[in-house]
Amino acid sequence: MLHPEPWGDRERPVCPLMLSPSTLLTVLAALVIVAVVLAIALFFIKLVHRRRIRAIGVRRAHYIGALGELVARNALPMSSLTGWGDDPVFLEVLFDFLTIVTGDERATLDRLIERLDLPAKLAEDVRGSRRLRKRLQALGYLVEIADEDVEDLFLGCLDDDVVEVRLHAARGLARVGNPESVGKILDRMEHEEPWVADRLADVLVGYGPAAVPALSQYLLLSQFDPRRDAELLRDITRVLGLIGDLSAEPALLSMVEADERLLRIGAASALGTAGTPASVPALLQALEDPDWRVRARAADSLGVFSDPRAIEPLGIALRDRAWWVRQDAAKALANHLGGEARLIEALGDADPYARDAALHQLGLKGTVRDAYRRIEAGTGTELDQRILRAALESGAPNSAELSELAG
Amino acid sequence: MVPAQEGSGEGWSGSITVGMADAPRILVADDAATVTLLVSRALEAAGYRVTVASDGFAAFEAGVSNDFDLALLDHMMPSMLGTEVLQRWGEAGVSFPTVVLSGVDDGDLVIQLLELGAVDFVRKPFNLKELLVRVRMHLAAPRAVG
Amino acid sequence: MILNLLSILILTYAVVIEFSILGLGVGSGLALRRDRYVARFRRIEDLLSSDAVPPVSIIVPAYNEEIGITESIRSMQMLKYPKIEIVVVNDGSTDATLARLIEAFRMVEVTMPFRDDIATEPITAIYESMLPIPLVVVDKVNGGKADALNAGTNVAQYPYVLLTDADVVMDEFCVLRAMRHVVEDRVRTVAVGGNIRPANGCEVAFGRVVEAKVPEKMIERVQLLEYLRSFVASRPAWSRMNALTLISGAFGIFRRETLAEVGGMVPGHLGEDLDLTMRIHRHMRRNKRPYRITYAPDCVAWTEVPSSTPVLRTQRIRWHRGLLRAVRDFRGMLLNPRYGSVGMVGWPAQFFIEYLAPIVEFAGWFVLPIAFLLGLLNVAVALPLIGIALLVGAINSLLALYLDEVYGYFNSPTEAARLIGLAFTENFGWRQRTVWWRVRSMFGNRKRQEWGNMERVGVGNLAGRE
Repeated sequence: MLHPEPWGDRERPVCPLMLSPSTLLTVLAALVIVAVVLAIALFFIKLVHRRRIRAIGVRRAHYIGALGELVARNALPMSSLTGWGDDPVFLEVLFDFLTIVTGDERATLDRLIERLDLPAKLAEDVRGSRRLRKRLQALGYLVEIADEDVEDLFLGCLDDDVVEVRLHAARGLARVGNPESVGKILDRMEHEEPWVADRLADVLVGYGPAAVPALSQYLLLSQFDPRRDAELLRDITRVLGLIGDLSAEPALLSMVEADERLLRIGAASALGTAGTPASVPALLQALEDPDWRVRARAADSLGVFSDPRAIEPLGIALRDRAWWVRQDAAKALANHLGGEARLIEALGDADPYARDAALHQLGLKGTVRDAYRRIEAGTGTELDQRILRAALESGAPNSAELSELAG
Repeated sequence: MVPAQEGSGEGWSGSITVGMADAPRILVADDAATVTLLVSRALEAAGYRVTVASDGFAAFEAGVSNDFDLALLDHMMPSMLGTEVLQRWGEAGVSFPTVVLSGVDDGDLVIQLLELGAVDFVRKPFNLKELLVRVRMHLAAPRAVG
Repeated sequence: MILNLLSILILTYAVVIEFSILGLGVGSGLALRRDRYVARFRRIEDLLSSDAVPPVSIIVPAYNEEIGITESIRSMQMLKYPKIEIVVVNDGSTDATLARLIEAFRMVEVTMPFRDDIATEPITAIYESMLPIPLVVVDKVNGGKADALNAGTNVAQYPYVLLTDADVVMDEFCVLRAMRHVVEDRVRTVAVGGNIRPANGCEVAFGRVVEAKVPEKMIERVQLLEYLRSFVASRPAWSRMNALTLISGAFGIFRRETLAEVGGMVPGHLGEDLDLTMRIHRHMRRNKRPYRITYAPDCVAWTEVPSSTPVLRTQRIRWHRGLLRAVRDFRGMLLNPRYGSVGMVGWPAQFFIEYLAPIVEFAGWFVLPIAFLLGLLNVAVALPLIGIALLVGAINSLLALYLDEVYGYFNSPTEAARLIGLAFTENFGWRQRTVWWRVRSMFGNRKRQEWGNMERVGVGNLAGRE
């Protein structure tokens, strides 16, 4: 203290109780301890972490070597493998191997899994363990094994409280591949939040063509049930599109004219991958749908089939009000085996938007550049001249190279 | 039961070569130690010299500075994807054939890789014997002049 | 006596602020907890083949970036995301930026109609690539970074846009991890912010961080701690409360429609990212629309932070001036229940911690010594208070380091020791200097900073604030 205490007791500055020096000093002391402990703890955590990673690395290398040997020789070791099944590092390595080998090597690993009685152990973890992490990990491994025996476990987990467990369980069911479980997942989807339903839809794709009958039936029956969720149905059309199996075509065709816009969009889109040229008439109808999204998807899907009936309607769609429809129609014509001629014709269309859309696609395709090259080489046809004129008139000269050629 | 390479645990990015001189040199690039071990072991047993790289950048560097006869390249690798490695190898004038080994199931990706110069694409999970046959086939094929 | 009271008040204020930050840190720790191990099993790779993931347009403003632009775009192409387009906006560069792009990616000029949702400086040309890559280059009259981002948003065709900068180094799964939040709550999520970390000192190759290291220079290390406190140890808590007031301009995903509704970023504003985020909050709450602005802790983007004092100073003054303008613009939201958690907690936090605290601390620099020298200071109370404030500050940094463990970047003992030591020493000198800059920024002329003319410092506006 530089100065002697200037006040008497009466005039001591008033401090609220909390700020009495002794309280503060206690708090300060406590904080010092906390800070020091935290600093030391942090330092040790980092060191321990590093050491643990190293130790795990060594074990990993050991297991990788052992399993590699095993797989290379296609023979299980004679000695007992006690403790391996309990080591999470071993399990990680084992399942890594499962994802990379097939054929004989995979069969060997399958035998090892049986020998270690892993499915039962993991199922026990899923059912019995309290710790979420352990359950998820075990469930994840079971999904990789995809044994039919655990199908019941997966079905049970479909109703679990935790979202991730449900998603894993669904994945497991998809890998087992029993078409009867599709219905259970669909039931689940009806009660889920939209994003979970989306993820479950992704899982359904994993069933492949086996799921198509159940999904088609669901779609067809929905026509008689006004309660059914349009978003869910749209998801199902998406799944059918992704699976790409042609047996889904009838169900999708019946949806192209549904009342619900989302369904029409989904169906028009899915027919591109799950349809045959038989759906072209329906898609041509959809090309005139009041909703632009349906028209756009229909145009997109028509580009897949290269059906001659589609050329003129797509050419007309180049004049559509909606930008996306024009773009998709132009792209479809660009992909269409006979569509380029129509695009070139559109270069002279009265509608400026149609001209733009056509020019855009022809530019990307290289048609314009090829036309210029031919003209420059002296072999240009009248068609090439038209293309050249149209390109120049649109006011957007293509790259420096081309304007050079144009003189 | 010692692993073929040392330090095949995490956090190691570099390359190591094992094998007899004069044998064809193969570069195996994958971030999964399981794959590199399995494949390099099988290749060595077949008599090749194997160099392993465990991330994209190391693979790129190895490919540029050494003369390999073939490369087995993964797509999903940290620090540089397989497509990028291929592209940069092309720019650097590297001329050995590359077989892509990947778990990604995407038609567009396969096309992209083939366009970038890969000679073959093998999906994971793969069959070791089949892989060895493909390797032998591509090593025997006449090399395109770079 | 007044002096003493004032001193004690100032010190108490400082202590309360530090404890609030501690509260945020603990809250963030709790928020991160469950997320952490569920995230391990989330199989983010599954989203790669999912149709449910919306496509994203990445907007990259570029001004005189001829050196690094092609590399930067190349690395963005390699991002692991199902459907992406990259829109580079050449903001009237005076160097060879555009030429480099045209050459490297075989760009062709096209007529592409776009929606003129936000007013910008005129666009002179639009280019697309002839290669099968989704790259668009927009050439326009110079208007600054915000204007460039707005133009890019206009041209973008997808429903979500990622506003970023050319020199941000992104982790490959970055966009996927951020968009996961959109997938999980598509109706409400209008914006997602990422975790920004300083790239200084790290080994970067071909657009990716190969190895993370603690930077050598003190000035960079101090900033590392700041970023950790600001991102890892506070944003998760804010995100939970839906009171995240600042999505960094280095990495922010926005719903395109919402950007158009609020009119995009404001050109010439020095704190354009803060302004944008607050305007979105205000807009959504005024219109009583359910929404969420989230933070994705696993989405890591790296950026270069100033490595010399003059550059750092310019940056901090600029940030603070942006904050001043925002404080003025949004004063109606302060402690206004109409704005929910933003008005009652988020914005007041910015106000009291970022705006008022430096002023109070600065005042303290005068009040306390004077009170002491005049013998009026109750040292028995003041000294412990100072000690408490400093210690809690150090604990905050330690907590941030602890929470950062989950990323597993720095494990060598020397690096650990350095950072831990810095947590304590930061309070002696570094902090004070920042306070001085902030106070200083309140005076002096409001010189408009041309973002392109400054020394290469990295991103225009990050959020590394405490």
